[in-house]
Amino acid sequence: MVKEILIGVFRIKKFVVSFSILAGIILMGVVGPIVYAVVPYKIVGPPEARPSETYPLGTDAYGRDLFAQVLNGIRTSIYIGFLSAIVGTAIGVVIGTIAGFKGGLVDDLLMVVTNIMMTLPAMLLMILVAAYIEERNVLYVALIISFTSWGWIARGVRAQIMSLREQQFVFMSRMAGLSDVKIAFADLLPNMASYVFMCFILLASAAMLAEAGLSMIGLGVTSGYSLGTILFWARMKEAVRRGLTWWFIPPGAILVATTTSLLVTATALDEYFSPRLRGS
Amino acid sequence: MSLVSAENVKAYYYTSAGSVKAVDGINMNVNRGEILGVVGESGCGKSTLASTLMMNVRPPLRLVEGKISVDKYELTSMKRKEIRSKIWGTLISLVPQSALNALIPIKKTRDIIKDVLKHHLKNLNNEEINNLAKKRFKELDLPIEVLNMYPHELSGGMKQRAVIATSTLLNPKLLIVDEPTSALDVSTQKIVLKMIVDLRIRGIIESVVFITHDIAILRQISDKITVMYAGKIVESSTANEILENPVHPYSKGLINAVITPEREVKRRGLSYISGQPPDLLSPPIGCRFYPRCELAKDLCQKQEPHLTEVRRNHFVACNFVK
Repeated sequence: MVKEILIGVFRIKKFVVSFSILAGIILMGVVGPIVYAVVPYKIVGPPEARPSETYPLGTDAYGRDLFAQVLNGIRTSIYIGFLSAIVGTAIGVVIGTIAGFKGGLVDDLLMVVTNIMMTLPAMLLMILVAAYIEERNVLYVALIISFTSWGWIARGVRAQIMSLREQQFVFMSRMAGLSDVKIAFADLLPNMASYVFMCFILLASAAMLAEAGLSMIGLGVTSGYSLGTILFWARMKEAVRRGLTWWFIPPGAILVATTTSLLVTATALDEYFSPRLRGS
Repeated sequence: MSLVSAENVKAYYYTSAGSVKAVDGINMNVNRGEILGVVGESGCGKSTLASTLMMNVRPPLRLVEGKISVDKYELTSMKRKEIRSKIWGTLISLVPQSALNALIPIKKTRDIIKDVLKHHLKNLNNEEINNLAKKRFKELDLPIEVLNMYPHELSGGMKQRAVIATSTLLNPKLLIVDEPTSALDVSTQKIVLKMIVDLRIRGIIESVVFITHDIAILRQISDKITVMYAGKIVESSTANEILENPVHPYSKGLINAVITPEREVKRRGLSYISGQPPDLLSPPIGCRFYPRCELAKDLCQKQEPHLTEVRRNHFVACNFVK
């Protein structure tokens, strides 16, 4: 069955293109820093050097190797993106499932919390929390992002569970003696696996952008590099005004490429899962 | 010996518009080894009766009063949790109305069966479960391949039979089937009916409550027939008695409305009961059938008829029957 899915998915051109871009970027982030073993925060050459053979992407205002920074940045950004997607999706799915399945007072209470989370501007909340924590490592940033972004997943999952729980097979499971928890998580959740998967991918790309946004204003990770931190330093040293294109274009382009390819991958998979969306 | 006895059972749906009296004061008995047919139009409370009999009452449905006992258990005084663990599946099983949606779409039949058996017989390994499932499928003349199929790979009739087989895995004493044949063609209907009869002959189940709106089907399988109208029982007797000598005008109407391919139907023409079942939010006072009844007199608008025995074991609720 796995084989059939893979064959089917790789027939969609959109998926092949976006997935190869994504895979390439992930590979750069995972293997890059090992192969190109230059320490990103060490001064290795003249400041603001153009891209050359020694410095593939040039150097920044302090003479640090930008290629090494980008490779490490990809790693951090992807790590944060996926970690917060995992945590955020998990919170959203658990809250949505419980609210949808239990209904009544439990549902009302959980939805009040969810609605509050959704109405609060996420960026503002992130800035507040991030500013409060002085030393922010990768894990903190990922958690800050995930705690502010699960609201819409909870709502979506709740709606789906509410429609699924009225199906006859739920009653049959109940008659078979399965507990509520088991029915909700073992019977209902797999029925909406594709939806949860889409949520996960969308959340991952949103989290990467959120991280870049936080880092741009100086509230990202305090140790190490992410794509956002490179952009932060480029902004601090006014790279755009001074035309140091090799400094801000690569991280920006990679960020856009990653998030776009994630979204396109999600759309392509959506097409595969629901044949109605497939083109002729 | 009666297996199920229900006394003055009332179950209402509480909605914002008022209470819908879907089951309103029902007394019934199901003897051991008996197939009881419950017949009536749509919206007469048949399915609600099915849920109530197995105490599957969840809001907005609520049991207002009455006593239901099955075997040695008194269901109405048991907690829902207790009922779920001790009664459902092992003592009472239901084949729901839309049995075609009753199988979870993401699991193979084998895994659905595994779920049921694993929960109730804890010390079985996979092999034993497989063998049990195979044995039961063979007994009921179901192809073994069905075990390895997903629900969408099965035809409607096969799905229905798989649901019945799964429902009766644990040899429940009472099986409630809710319109099992309504979406099937005639030859598949016959197979499903035969399967239900088979289950009883093999002693897998003892009694059946067979809910349907098709009185013609009941002739083939049921021992007793109960006619329901607007949440109440209007007539109840043995199957032959009801079909040969119906007394209540509603039962007569139901039987006359059956379309048979026989010649005399062309001569006598199709008959039907005019109007629709009443809105159960505010059912008519007096006899609930009077707005549609040919015999209705002023008396019917005031006096509510009660079930009375007109012949031996033949009960009718009509003001014109003594």
